[in-house]
Amino acid sequence: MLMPRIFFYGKIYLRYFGQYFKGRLAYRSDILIQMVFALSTQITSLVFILIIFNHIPDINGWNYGEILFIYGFAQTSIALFSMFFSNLIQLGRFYILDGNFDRVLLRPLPPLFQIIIERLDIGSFSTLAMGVGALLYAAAKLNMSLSVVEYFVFLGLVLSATLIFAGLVLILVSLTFWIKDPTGALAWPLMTVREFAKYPITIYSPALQVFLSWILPLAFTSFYPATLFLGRQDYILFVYLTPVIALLTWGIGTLIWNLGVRRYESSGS
Amino acid sequence: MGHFRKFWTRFRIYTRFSKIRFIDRLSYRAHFFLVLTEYLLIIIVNYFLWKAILADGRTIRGYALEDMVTYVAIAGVFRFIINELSGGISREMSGQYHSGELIMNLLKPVGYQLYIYFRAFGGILFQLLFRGATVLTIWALLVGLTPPDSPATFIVSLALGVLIYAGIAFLVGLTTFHIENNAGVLFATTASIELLSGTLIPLAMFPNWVASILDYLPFKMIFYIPMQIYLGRLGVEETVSALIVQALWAATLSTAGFFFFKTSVRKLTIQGG
Repeated sequence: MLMPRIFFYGKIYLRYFGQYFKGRLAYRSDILIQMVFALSTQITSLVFILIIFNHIPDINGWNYGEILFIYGFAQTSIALFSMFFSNLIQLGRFYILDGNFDRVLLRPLPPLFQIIIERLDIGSFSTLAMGVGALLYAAAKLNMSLSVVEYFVFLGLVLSATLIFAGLVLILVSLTFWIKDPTGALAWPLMTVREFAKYPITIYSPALQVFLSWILPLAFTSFYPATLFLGRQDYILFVYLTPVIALLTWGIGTLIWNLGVRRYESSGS
Repeated sequence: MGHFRKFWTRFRIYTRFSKIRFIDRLSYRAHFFLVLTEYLLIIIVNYFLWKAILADGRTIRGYALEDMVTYVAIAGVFRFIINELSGGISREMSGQYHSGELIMNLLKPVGYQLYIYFRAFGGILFQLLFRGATVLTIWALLVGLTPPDSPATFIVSLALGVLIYAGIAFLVGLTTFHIENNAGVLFATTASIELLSGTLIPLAMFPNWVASILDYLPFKMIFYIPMQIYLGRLGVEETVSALIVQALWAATLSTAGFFFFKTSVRKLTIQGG
């Protein structure tokens, strides 16, 4: 029963993607501009790391390869989030204020699924390439070799990290059903706080470490899962917890979402 | 005397544009705090990074942790200015071009370039008085802040830095007259300004070959030179020559903008309005 449903949703996703992509191809220069935009907001931290390690051997006991690996992990999950889930941020303005949510509700598919698949941020390919590039370079630098099983574990952890971030955004944007937020500003601070996750959380003060682990679990989107591949045993428990946190944040997100949808009143346009 | 009075009246007219932008910026209160938090967070990340990088009394090219504590705060506040200039000049110009508002402004008996500059200055005043002052007060109380070595020289140098970036932003804004969608140019410039002006990392830490190329470009004059003066790292002679080079860049870029604007307007096609 489950498999046919997955195929059904998968097929719909591909259809939506095809339509969206055709629409985008009409404005080819826009895609380029999106890529430049994504790159310009994300490249500064990479340049920072590259320059700093010209001068010092390690940051807080983490060497060049390790820092790059953690950075690459964070960047990859951020790019995957932007690519597949960033349309969530449009909820306040485009869907609720402009009345497009009515259209979504009329169609025989879950509203959340529809909103997620209506836009794919093609521009994030550039940052994804940057993240994966950093990971590969770091892996070579650290002489890392992964078995097939480890590759799957890695993939699972990257997807969990993406889902954690998506879940946090979902929780915040779902509040739009209660609070009017035409600019999508509720999710903004999160876009900045994720900068914290690009570096080992051991550099932060203890209070900040607790905050980034248990209140806004961004450390689970990069640092904790990445340590598994860096041969550090201290955080193994946190690695196991990563998929759990992912399901938890996404679960809480969908819960608030469903409550919000039930409360939704059309803007009447 | 007559010349002076004429100049003064003109000046008064332009300061009205600054005032309008200033008041305009005052009206978004929730937005104010969100952006403030965002910038403060960036400063905090950078602070912890430098704290780890320069732990145990480590220094890089003459920068110790106590220098960077002040550096990240001033650079963080300067990002408000960069943002205001990119938004208030480049993006504003391309917005006016696409909405047709531009033509109304060309009909007014004021110089377009000065009109755009003065509006942006009003925005900068708002950023510094409200956001900048808040950030610096919080920083001084929580972490610590070294005051500028010579405040007057620093302010002059900073003002020249702002003028240089205003000149660049105006030129970037003008590209919209030629390539319709200049968003890519805009994003790329803002990101490179952050890197090349030294708000992210002191330029002394760049590889030597990059630093020597940057010596011939205006970017370091925007923030890095004012910051050097703030930290008291330039001698008297160096300061004077730095200020002269800054003034030359500011004049060159604004003059280039003036002529580029003239030629651009001549072949301007306005879409409705």
